[in-house]
Amino acid sequence: MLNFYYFMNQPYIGYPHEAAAEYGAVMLKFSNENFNAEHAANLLDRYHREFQLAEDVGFDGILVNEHHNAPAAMSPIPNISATVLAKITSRVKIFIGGNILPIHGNPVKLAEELAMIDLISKGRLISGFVRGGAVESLAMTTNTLYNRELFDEAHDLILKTWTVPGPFVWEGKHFDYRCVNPWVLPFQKPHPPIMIPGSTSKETIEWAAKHGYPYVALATRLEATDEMFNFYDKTAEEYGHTVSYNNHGYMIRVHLAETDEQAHEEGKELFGGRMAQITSMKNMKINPDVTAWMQPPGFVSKEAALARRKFMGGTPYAFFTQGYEKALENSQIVVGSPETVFKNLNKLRKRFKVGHLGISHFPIEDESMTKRSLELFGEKVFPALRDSAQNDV
Amino acid sequence: MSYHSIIKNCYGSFEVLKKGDGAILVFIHGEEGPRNILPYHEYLSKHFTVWAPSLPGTGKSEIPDWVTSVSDISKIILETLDKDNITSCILVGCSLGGWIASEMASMDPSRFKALVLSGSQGLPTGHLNTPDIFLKPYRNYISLGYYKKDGQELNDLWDDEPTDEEIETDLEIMELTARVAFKPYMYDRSLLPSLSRFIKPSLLIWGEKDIITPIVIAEEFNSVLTNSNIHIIQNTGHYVHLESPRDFSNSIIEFNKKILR
Repeated sequence: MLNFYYFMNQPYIGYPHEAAAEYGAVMLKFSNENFNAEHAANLLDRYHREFQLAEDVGFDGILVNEHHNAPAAMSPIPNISATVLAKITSRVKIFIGGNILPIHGNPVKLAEELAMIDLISKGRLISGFVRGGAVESLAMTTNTLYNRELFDEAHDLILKTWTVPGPFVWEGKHFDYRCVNPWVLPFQKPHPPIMIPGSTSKETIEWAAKHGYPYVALATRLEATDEMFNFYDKTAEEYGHTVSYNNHGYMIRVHLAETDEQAHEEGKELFGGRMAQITSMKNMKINPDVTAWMQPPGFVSKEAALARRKFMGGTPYAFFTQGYEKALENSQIVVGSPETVFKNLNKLRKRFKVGHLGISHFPIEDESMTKRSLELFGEKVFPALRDSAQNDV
Repeated sequence: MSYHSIIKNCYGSFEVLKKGDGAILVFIHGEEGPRNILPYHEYLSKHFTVWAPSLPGTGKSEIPDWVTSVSDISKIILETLDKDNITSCILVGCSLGGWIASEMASMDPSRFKALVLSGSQGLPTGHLNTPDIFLKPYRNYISLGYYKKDGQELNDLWDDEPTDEEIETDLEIMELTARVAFKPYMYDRSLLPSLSRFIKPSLLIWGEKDIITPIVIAEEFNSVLTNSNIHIIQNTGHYVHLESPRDFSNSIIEFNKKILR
């Protein structure tokens, strides 16, 4: 069974690039004086239309996420995006990928919010949990030193809140409650499915495998992804889980047009152009502070930082700077006609044995281009991929 | 004579640098970390026995899991002083170490004959747009604590390519700083009211060009310490003890002479 998810960052397309270039970063302290509310409102409207279209063309789920202080994503509270999805769609799974547990601050309230989304959507929630990048913690002034501990404890508390009848007392290192007993509980039993998106952290892969949660690799490099899923499988099996296609997910950026020529012409411009910079502008020479934002104290231990470098072959920060041809060659993007996109996605699907395939676009200014891409997916790519995957177990 | 001593107490093992002879001067380092013997150690040790602990989690000092605040660190240092039978001494602290020293002085005022703070953290400075150690590369932040006249270099401590050991110290001291000073950022609103308990002589040595804890912060400390003076070191930034170690040490030596009179 292969599930397709439409992943949408809800970017603020059209921020002043000159201001960002001068500042040397489009995150954390890049001033929100560059934010235009009317423009943002129109963009959010557009993204809601795209969500509905994604359901109409046959996607199985829609993936929303959480980011702060950056135009790359206008979804600081993914539970609001998910609530909107619960009302404007009727069939697709709503995959929050995910709530950033360490910065939420109140796991019991988060358990309640997620339960509401699951109820409103009549059991369509997939609840992703993430540690978040360091900048997310810095944006909320959450101590980066305790990121892992906060994640673990918040997860354990949410699970208990969903599955153990209240009232109960929680006395943890970071959270303390005298009366956990929310009236509102999830629609799905014992609780909504949990999937863990991630890109580079070996600790997170190990954690997901231990719990038997599906792991969704976010546009990671091919060899590193092979290694990552091998490690995941081995660990999951050690902990008594049976690994299937359902345990593996992969998310990739795709650009689709009627022909290969047209797709590459557009893709090259989108990839290398200003639209792509929205997610990547970090100029350490102009703004050396950015290096500190990537790795504040304790966020990754010295040992883990070195191990991660070895394990992942480096970090994915060079995604856009590697260049269009290299990104194609590395299969970090898929661009082409429906036939080409099918072939490439099918190769990736088989290679990684994925049961969950997330697809996102480059930030595209022209809504009609996104619409065309989604329709081509529905008409030509999904049927072929589903057919090819029908014997997956 | 100087040596590093390991002192065991009920919280674990703690490393203390001991150097010199005479009355004991307890020196609490800050976010610059415990480094090798520095010029201010040399100057001060000609007049005092410098007793300089490596803060918990740095050097060879252990850190208990429960340490999350400056008062936790203070408890550990006070306990270590007990174990070393130090009941009367001068207490000096710089930057984060100044905050710790202030806390120690308010917790146990009878132990200390005098208090010296330099560029002390512990009070809110955000409204002054001061640099944030967690939003800058560590060594860039430290360099902002020097006045650096006309592009002048700092010194061997920060200018040379750091060794692995130095990087490890950077990471250790940053982790400790995050434990105790991440939020609220570098302050505790109970510090000033508590410090008013300390009525013995105090000296506030401040760099004229301090942009991390500007001189207005010295004035706030001065307002609650009943027996204190501010001594400004010209053309010097936040880390007076590192940038102008001779002036820093002489200020303390002169201050001590006045106390003894």
